[in-house]
Amino acid sequence: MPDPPFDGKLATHKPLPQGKAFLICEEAELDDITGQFSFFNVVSSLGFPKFPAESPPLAIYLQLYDGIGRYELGIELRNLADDTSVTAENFSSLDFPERLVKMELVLPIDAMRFPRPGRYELVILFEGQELATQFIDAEVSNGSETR
Amino acid sequence: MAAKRDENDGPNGAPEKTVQSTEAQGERRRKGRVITAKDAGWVTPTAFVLPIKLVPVDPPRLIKKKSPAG
Repeated sequence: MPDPPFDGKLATHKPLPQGKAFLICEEAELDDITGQFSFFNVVSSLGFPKFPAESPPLAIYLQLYDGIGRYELGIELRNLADDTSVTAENFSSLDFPERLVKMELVLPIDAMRFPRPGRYELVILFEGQELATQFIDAEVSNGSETR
Repeated sequence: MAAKRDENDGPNGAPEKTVQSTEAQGERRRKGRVITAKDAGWVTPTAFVLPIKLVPVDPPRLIKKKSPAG
């Protein structure tokens, strides 16, 4: 059987890196001497007196392996109550110098906006595909903002 | 003769280390430098800082879920 005619498009099946860690925290610190990170107040839920609400500044930490070359990155905050994307950004690209290199990515975020209480999902996208996800619960609270 | 127990001693008589550990963590915390948006770029040979600003999707976009068949 003859091969199908070539349509000029080559299939690209570059594997995505493997996500080994995904943290959302209030503060990420770098020890300039050792080059090691420390994370403070890892966040799994956020409490707000009213909605829509805006979170305090946060930092996302990703540890990745097995990447090949360059990837386009994106991030989305999804409301799981109605499966909608409420905020998003395609923010940059990341180049893996070698496949076996462990890459660390720190993403400082000014604020995240939550339209209403409920469970949300923060999604890291590589080449438009989901690489890692993390839940955040946005709750009505009169006390501390993060837990 | 058994040593006099202090109110901070643990169950086996050894001093509880929680207070000391907390103090040590506080000391360790001060050694680091908080990562901010100003650090954009490589901070170590394998660590990259990318400040991001999430933009509202208005109206919210429905997520396309993959079917079980793929």
